Amino acid sequence: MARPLIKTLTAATLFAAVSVQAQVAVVESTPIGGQAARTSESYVDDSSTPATAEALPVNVSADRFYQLQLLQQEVLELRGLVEEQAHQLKRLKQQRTDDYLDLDRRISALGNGGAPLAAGDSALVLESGQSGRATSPAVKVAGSDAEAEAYRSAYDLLKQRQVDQAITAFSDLLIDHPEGKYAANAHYWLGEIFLLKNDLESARQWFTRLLDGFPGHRKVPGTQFKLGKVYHLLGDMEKSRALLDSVAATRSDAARLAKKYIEQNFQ
Amino acid sequence: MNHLRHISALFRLSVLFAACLTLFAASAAHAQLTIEITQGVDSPTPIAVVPFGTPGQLALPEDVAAIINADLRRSGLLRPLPKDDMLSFPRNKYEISFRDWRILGAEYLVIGNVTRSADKYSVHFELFNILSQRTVHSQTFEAGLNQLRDLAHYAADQVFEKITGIRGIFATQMIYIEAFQNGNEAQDKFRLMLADVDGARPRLLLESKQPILSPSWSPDGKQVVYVSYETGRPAIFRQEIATQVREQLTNFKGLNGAPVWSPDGRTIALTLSKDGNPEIYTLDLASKKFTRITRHFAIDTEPNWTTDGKGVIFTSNRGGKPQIYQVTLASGRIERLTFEGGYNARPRVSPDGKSLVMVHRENGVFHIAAQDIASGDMRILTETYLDESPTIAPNGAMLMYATRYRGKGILAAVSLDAGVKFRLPSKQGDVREPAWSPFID
Repeated sequence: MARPLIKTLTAATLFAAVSVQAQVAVVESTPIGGQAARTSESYVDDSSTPATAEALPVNVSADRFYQLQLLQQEVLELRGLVEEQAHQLKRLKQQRTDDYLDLDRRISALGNGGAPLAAGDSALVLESGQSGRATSPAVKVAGSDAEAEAYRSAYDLLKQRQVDQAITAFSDLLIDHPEGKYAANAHYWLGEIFLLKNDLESARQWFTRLLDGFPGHRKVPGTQFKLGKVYHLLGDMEKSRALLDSVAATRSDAARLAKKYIEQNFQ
Repeated sequence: MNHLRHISALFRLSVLFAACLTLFAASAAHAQLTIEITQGVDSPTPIAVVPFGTPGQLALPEDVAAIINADLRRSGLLRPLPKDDMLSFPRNKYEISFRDWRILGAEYLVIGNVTRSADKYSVHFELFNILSQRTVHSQTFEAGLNQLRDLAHYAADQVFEKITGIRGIFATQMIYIEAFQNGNEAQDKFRLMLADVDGARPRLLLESKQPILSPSWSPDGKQVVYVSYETGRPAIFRQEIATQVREQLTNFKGLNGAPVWSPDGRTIALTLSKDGNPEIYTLDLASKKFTRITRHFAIDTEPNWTTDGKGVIFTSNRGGKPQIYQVTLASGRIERLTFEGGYNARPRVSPDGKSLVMVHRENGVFHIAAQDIASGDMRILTETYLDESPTIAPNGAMLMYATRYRGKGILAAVSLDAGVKFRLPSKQGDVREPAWSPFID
């Protein structure tokens, strides 16, 4: 310990002695420089007088001790910082895992056909149904879900050409949801089915009910075309032509069909 | 040496020694600590403890029912009904009118008798559930003529456990330091005291003109270990309670402090500064061999064992501020446990090993706080300031600590859920550094 210390002290003294000449020049100009210069000067003198040479290591070792203390304090504080950040990191990691697991659970619940959600919905309906007004939106939403289901199955029957079952299914749908959002479509398909079966009177009734009950529905032009066709087949040329002309005047898909039908049958 | 100022209750205590100016109480009689309950749970269970019957004109040195009442009330979980409200004092179950007790609002009823033979007392008691009108527990036990209080505490323990499911701590004891300082050092006096945990029956274990510090129990409750300055510098002693036989364990230069017994009773963990600055050591009591546990230029002190005895929890300012760390003895691995606030010191581990209680500084005020070790959640248990030296009851439900009240050092207690609080003010001197005994069978 002692020997390296002396070595560094010697080096420090030499360095001070060398640098002193340069510093002396600025002594007079600034008080701070003056302080430094005076110290340097005493260093130069020290080399010749042993009495003051003893004071030197004390100064420097006190300085070293001070430096060591500063470093130790710095290390303590850095260690504290590292510990705290490691702790925060650990917590964040844990939180991330927790969040991920939570998200994963929710997504897989959704993936399972939303079964729990649907259950929640029907519970809501039950509850709100009992409590009365203000809840009608919920009831309606739930009602249209059941209606959509019924409509889809009726339409599937039609696509499979199970015509009679389709008639029953659409009729049941209209009994359960006479004002539902698929009611107009049900009317249309019933008219279409009866037209297909060549039951013109029934077809006429369904198409007429649709036009009377759902004015402004997007099925209206198509229905007018079909009803015009029905009247034509029934032999009522006047009503047929009136309907077909009004459809042809629109900008719907049915207009093209109506014009073609007029061309083929009325000229 | 700025960091020296920070460390630990141990260091703060010595400051307290200098600062305390308490009037010296001339009467040397050991004043008993009396209890003031300051907070209880919202709806404690009402219970009636009928004065115990005695045959003939037998005069008892203690009122057994009153001791049981006081014990149960102090738990905060039970509410004993006043004697004056009772319509009758039944001596056996045939004299009980359950209807009367139900009208009084009691849920439980305790009746009992004390008999005396030539050399012992015998206590019989029965605990009834008023609603079901059934006997919950009945027991007879006996003890020597000077142990009637013990019998009463034992009965209270049984009643408490049968009703709450928590093992009672009324028959346990505590050690603490009494300090008499009036500013004139020549008159200073320090006492190491042993008392029932309700403050009754104080007994002197050691008196000294020099400070006594950091008392701690052996796990069998038969010995204590403490720091005494009687040799002119701090040294660690152990003392057998029954025989008063003492043994000096350390005599190192510098700090010899904070001794705590390991759960298996074979080792003591302590702080020594013999190698330069305060470090944690263990002392094997059989071989008298010291093992250095920590190596750091920061201060490591206030060791406390984990419940399994495999680790030591201690206070260190190696992170720049005093915080609580745990070292695993086998591997030497050190882990920091506390992260809330800039000062956490004097850790004690709960008997189930799940919580840590400590001195926690918040806004410059020292509180007792508890921390769940696994989750790191901390809650402050006490609202006073300058709270220190927490010690946990062996059932883990309560803890006692030292605090200042009306300018004096007193002991206070709080349940670990902070629901129940009480104080044990002293009539003379300053009381500090309580240590709750283990269960004594």
